[in-house]
Amino acid sequence: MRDADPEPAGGARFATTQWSVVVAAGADSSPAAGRALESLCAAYWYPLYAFARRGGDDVHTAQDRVQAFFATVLEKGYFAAADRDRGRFRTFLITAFRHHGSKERDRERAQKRGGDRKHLSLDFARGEERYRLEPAHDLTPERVFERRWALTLLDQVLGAVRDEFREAGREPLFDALKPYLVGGSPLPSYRNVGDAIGMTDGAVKVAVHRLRRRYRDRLRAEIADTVSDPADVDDELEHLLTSL
Amino acid sequence: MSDADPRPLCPQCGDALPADAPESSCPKCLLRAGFETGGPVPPRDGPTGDAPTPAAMAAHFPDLAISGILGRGGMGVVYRARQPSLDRDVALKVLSPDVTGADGAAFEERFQREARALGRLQHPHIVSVYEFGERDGLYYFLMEHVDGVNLREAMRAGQLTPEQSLAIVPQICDALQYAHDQGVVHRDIKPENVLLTKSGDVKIADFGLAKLVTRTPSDFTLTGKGQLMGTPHYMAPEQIESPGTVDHRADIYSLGVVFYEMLTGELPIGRFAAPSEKSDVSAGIDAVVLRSLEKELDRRYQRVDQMKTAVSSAGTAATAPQEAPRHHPRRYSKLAIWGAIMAPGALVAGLLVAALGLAFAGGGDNEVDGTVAGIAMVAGLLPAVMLLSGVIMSICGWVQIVRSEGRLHGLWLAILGTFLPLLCCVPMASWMTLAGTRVAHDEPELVPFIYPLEDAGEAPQPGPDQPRPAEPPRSGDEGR
Repeated sequence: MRDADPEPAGGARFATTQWSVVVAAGADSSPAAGRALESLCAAYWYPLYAFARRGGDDVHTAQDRVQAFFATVLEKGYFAAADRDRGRFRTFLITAFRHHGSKERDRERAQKRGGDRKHLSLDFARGEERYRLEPAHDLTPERVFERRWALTLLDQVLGAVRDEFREAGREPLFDALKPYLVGGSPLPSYRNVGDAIGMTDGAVKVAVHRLRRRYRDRLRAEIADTVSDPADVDDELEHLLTSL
Repeated sequence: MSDADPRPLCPQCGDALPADAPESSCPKCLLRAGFETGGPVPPRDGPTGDAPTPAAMAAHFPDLAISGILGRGGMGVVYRARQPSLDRDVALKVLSPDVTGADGAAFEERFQREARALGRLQHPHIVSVYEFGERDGLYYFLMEHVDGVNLREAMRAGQLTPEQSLAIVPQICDALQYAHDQGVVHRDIKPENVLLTKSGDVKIADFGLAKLVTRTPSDFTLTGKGQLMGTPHYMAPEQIESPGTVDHRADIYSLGVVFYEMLTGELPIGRFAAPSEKSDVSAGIDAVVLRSLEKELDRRYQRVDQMKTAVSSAGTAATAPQEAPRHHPRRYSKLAIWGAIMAPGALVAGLLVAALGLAFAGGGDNEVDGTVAGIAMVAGLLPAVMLLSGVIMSICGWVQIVRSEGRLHGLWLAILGTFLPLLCCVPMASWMTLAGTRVAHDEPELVPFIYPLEDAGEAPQPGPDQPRPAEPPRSGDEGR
């Protein structure tokens, strides 16, 4: 369903692959599965980083751990350890990371990362910057991961939808209609919005309707990418809701 | 969960917007918009959401200070509020028009009846209902406000330890038993309805509310407003198959599911592992969970306090050996099986020994040496020993089955194993009589040696066990 969409310039912003591809490939990772996994990791590394930081790691340890973890995952799939968590990329990631953390922490740090290891280019500087902005609440690392995951997912989806509008040269329209995604009582009327952006209120109404549908499809597709069974989308949505 | 901060509120749900909200929109409402059957904003017309904001709700409840939304479920919306007159925090649950509007007057009656029953429930582990009623067409409950998290959040946050789970379940049992005694069945026990206060106490919410909604199996999906009406995972099979006939044992099943999930983090679906395989609990706990999850009502615990007792006794014993057999409900008594096998086995063995003896008797005309005689003696003892032990095992099995209160079966095997040997005795005894007669006839000088009987001319009626060992050698020796 994704193929018909124009790809945003960033590329990594919107994963075009599915967790099921990775799962289906299993231990003998195909190139396609490798790419799928890589782009998933690139999109969702930040929740893990936040998890490690919240768990007490300093900046460097957290960076090392996340980087070493992804290196291991990308090299050997790391599936044996997380077999039963394969249903969702989210649970796989956190379970495998925790497992990896306890098992290989010392080893990884001792030998550092060899030059031949796979290396994801992750913007840790920006990650740390974001982490400093994390609310100083008393959430556990797990909650931070879950919450951050949900927010990252929404970022991906909204970013992708915004990109689509931008490419069509209609970014102001997106900004004007954005409040309707969520709804609520004090919303500008269609007429006011229409006057502001030079559209009739009927056209605004249609555009709102399309935007909602587009957004919902994108959101569901993005979630579908992280679960192995598309039927789990509603379930995952519900889960994400409770983690916020 | 942070109140009293000046951050903007979501116009849709009334929650404070987090500082890191994507596109400065409420992340929860953004996610809700992902549900296929209508998001928070119905696509029909106009930008009005389905959940009235706290401000809108305040118009209906001037006596309350409504400050935000605590949660939204399949039944409606729960607002955080304060009752200034009584200086207490309360939770205001307003039922969704989807629930109340369906059947008008019939709902009104059902609501009054159920709410009165709920209002009577006063228990430390049950969320109290202070007030209920209808205002401007809105049906509501004013309830105790519980400061804490629900079990779902607790499980997600820090993975409950088995000890914590074992402490939570008995409290749920207490609450359920109390309600059941009052004739109220919860019908919707699930982690979202189990609240944990900050001091670790359990409070069960939404007692009996599920009864207000008449559901069909096809309803276990998304309802019109994008909220889950109920998830079938926690429901007893009979709740889905024949919702009309549900009794308190449905709660026991649901509690079993919750218990399993607390211990393993998973739902007991399909062929699921025993809790002790995935968590550090005894096999006794496996037995409790599995029994509460029995599909058949009669095999489940019949009362919640039975379950509570089982949890406490299994929880205290590191391993609960006597609980373990319950793990396999209704199996055959092993003793009865072996007892029943022994009787025909003894018969076969006896016949074999006899055949061998006869073969010796028929074929050999040389002397039988001591070894052969010894072997024959032992071989001859075998059927007797088997027969005797078979009878003993069968009788023990019989007793065991009778005492097992229906968990073991195989009574017919035990009876067979007890009486069959008697039947076996007939051919064996007659064969022995025959052989004895022959020996006595051919080798009269040996007879006193074997049978402490002096009369050599006719067959003695020996005790069935003793004589046979001696015959094979004798018959072989005598060479006929």
